[in-house]
Amino acid sequence: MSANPTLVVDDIHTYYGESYVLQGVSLKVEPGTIAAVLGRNGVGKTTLIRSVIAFTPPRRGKIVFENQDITRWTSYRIAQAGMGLVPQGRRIFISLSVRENLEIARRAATGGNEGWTIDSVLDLFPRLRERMRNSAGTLSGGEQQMLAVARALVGNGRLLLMDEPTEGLSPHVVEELRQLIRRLRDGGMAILLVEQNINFAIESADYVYVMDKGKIVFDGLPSDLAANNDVKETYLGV
Amino acid sequence: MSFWIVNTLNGLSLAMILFLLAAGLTLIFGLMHIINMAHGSFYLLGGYIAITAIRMSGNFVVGAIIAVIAIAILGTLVQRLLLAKLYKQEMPQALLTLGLLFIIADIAFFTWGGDPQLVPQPALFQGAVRIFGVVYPLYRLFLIGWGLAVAFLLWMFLERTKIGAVVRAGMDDEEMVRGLGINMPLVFTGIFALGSALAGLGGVLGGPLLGMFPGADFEVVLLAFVVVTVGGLGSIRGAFLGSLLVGLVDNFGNVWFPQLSLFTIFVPMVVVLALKPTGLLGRT
Ligand SMILES: Nc1ncnc2c1ncn2[C@@H]1O[C@H](COP(=O)(O)OP(=O)(O)O)[C@@H](O)[C@H]1O
Ligand SMILES: [Mg+2]
Repeated sequence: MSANPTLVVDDIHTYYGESYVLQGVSLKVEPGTIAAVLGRNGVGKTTLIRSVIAFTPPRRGKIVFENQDITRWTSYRIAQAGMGLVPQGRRIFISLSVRENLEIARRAATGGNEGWTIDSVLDLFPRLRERMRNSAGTLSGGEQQMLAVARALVGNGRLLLMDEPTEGLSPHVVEELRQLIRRLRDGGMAILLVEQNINFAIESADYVYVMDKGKIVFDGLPSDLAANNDVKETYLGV
Repeated sequence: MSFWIVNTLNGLSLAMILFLLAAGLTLIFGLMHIINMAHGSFYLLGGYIAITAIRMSGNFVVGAIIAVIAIAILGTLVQRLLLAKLYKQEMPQALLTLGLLFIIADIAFFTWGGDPQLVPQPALFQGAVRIFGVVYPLYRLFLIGWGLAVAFLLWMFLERTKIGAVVRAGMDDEEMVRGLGINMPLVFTGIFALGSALAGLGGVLGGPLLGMFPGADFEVVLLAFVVVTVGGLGSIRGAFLGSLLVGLVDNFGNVWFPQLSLFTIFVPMVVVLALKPTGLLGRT
């Protein structure tokens, strides 16, 4: 892989109609690293993810993925180019069986290796294997989150966008998730992780950003943030 | 007894014509949220084109295939060139299809005139057969068979293929499907073309019974909307159930209360909606 960042977000400005949400956000995700974006509810973290995948394209600014300018691309082309999405609220397809959720998301990996298959993600989440024929709507919250992660993995992207994956999970499942994303990272995956759970982000990430009112107000190593009580108190309420 | 058999079969054959229309309507609405008034135009044009093509070729099957293909192409163009430009703008889309309904009605009037015309019946299915102790037109039985076959194939397509799963997922959360890297604009066009082709087929196969005439487009799309509303928007099984219900109610209503024909259709619809606002098998 190139030494250039996997993802560069360069001064993007994103609106919902007249509502001006992202007011010049810049960040980077390096290959094989986890970058976390922290911030209170409503500061624009989900809007950042929506901007990157072009659900809500930014009106100004630039987004570069693996040296390609994807700013004007449509969502499905961006995803095809190698981005996986684990959205806030899971958004699994409840009319589909668990298997169908995975089948429609499956895309072969690029560069020769097989990548994630339905079988190999099921080894990762054995509980899903028992539920393959069930309607995805009948899964528990934790199982739905597993399915949302598994669905993103079988797409075999090289960048994973994760929007509050720990939301509503028990501490035990959160710990499993932490180990999983570290393992994915060690396998070479770049991850943009959006979180409200500060400890989770500090423990998992290689680099952290703090967001407030549509702007990045802090960036640094997780240890810098852990030591910076000012930022934590002002922007994260701890 | 023969009264019940004949009228049930009549109701079923009407139901199958309605199903051919309602299936596309419900898929298009479920996936794209388009209230497609032009669906009636596709039915009308399907019937008229079949009349002309059968006359010229002298062969029902050839004429039917030409008509269905022509309507599929027309549907593709309407979706690609017009509706796709109004993505997610539901009111402008609905008004656009209403405009198309009027424009196509005028074009059809100038081209085929104002007199009702029947699509010629296929020679193979002319005449009558004895069934359940009554003598019954063979063509209507053929129509019922076709409707059942199309319903089965559509169900298989939606429930047993990957594209079918994509369509169902799109009804759940279209944006998320795009986020998985699936070319939804293409799926939209495909489903719109399929729905249009089915409406055209409805015109071809319903044409020998109901005939084509100015106003048939609106009449039939109104009934098809009742069907999908009763059955539940977005559901093929709902469209099937709704077609049976509306087909049978309309037929028996016309026999018993000929002056109340619209009344007998809309009362059951209101009752269903009052009890279950999403329709019988609607998605929630
Ligand atoms: N679809 C939308 N339409 C209009 N405003 C929205 C929409 N989604 C989010 N917002 C607003 O944008 C701001 C940022 O929201 P969001 O990105 O969801 O924040 P976060 O993910 O950090 O909680 C909030 O003020 C929210 O009310
Ligand atoms: Mg959010």
